[in-house]
Amino acid sequence: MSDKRYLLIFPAIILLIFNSIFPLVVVLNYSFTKPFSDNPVFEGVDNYVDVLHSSEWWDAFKRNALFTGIALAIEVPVGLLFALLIRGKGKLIDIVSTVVIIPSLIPFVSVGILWRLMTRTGGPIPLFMGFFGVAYTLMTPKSAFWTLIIMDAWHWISLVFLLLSASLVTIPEVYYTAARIDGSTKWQTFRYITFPGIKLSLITVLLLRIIDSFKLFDENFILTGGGPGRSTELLSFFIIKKGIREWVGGFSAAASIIYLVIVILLCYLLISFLTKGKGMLER
Amino acid sequence: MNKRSSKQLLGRTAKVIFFLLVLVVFLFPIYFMTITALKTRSEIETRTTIYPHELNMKNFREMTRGPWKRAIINSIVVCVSSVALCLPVSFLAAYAFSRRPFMGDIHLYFWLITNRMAPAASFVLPFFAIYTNIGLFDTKLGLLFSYTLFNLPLAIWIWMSFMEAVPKEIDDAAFLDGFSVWRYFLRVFLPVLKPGLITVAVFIWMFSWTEMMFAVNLTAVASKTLPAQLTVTVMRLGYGVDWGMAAAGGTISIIPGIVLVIFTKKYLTRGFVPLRRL
Repeated sequence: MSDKRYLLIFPAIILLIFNSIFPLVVVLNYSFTKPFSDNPVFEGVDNYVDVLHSSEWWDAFKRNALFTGIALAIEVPVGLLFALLIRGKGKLIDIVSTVVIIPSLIPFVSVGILWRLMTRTGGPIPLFMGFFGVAYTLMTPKSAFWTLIIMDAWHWISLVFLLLSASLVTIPEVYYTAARIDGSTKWQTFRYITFPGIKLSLITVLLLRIIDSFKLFDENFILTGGGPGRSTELLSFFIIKKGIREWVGGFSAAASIIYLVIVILLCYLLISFLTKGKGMLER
Repeated sequence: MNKRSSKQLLGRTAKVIFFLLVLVVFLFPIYFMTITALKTRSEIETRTTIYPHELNMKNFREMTRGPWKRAIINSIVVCVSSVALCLPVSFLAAYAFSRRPFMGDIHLYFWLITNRMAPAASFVLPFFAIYTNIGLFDTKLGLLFSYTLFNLPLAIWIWMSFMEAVPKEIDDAAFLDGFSVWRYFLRVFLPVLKPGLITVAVFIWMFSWTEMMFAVNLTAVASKTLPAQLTVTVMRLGYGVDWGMAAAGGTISIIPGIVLVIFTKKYLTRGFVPLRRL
């Protein structure tokens, strides 16, 4: 029996060595050289120094952090509100909760297209805003950035909603009954029963959304293409632009590694928090 | 009594209005995309209408031939093969993690999960370089392999949460009865884990269906998936974007998600539960 367990895990490991370790080795190798040139020699940490001295990198980083902060400040409270309001039984509630989930199942590209259509000159959103006397266009840096945030919120409130509703269901109904009998106010019920029950999910969804916002690419690429200027260029977009379009492989590879380390640190934070240092596998 | 019931009525009305508002906000963009696909090009370019004044099926007919047809078929092939590959592989790995402790399993598991979190952008450049060298560039097989990077960890993660809920006494009873491992899987374990099976399959399918980063950068012509084809359509500069076509493709790309949410909603909710516990 004891040897079989390695056999069981073997296929997964082989696939991931080919698809994860191997590319990582390649990208690490690139990050220390000047790849795709006639004479790819070892350059030490030059590429890393270049990245950390590049104002473009830091701009993208700061922009991404700002984006994440604002997007989360919208998505998490609204998602929580949705989860609290859209629950229980009834036909309308069934329909609404189904509809709210739909955005998270739409391909990211299509979300981008959807919002390009909505925000085109003369499209529904400019018309709607014009109705209130606001001239709206995707062409200014500020409105492009905010549109990106609103689109992200539209897309991912569904995830917050899904996760929090799933955890709200696990709070026993008797708690609420007891609270009602004791005559607690709505706020007290939320503070002392609902909130402790969903606290773990809430923090999970926060960290999950932080990690995902740091990885955002598709909608960014489709909606604004990083523009106008570089005003909506986030980290993923920056790396792809450098690596694939401008073909500065070493620089892009070094940026990839730094980026990967940032995201994995966030991930580590998430996991160690959730397991409270008990280790990943509960036994 | 009367005062209370009128207050209740007010609350209920507010709730219904809130629900309708939510429905409008979430459905209108989708509706708008669908009707844009049904409009003629001149109608799209000249004015904003909330229903097509002249019904135009040309965009959808275009979806059934040429590059669009190929893209849709490619997408389906990649998704089906992703499920076929990752479902059994992740099942076996998750079983080993949850039932058979071995040396270093915790570290291995952590590494697996970080793959799910790693930014795809970091992997595009090396995949591109590797695939062009070994001839996997612009092939469906290449896409399938690159997707396992994210599909496998997610699948193992979800499997684990379902397996933890199955009491280990069932294993012992089955093995005492002299079941082999494979017979145990087929007769005992898998039937109990049917919801898990569906959840994992749905998540692998959805991830592969929506993926774009690899689909755009690791393909050229022959194996573009639907998201990649959509990207090409939208990013074409100079000619002006054919929005009717983009909207038709976008509408088709939404269909699997809507079908899945209607038929497997409870599994979807369940699929997110492991994220809470890890």
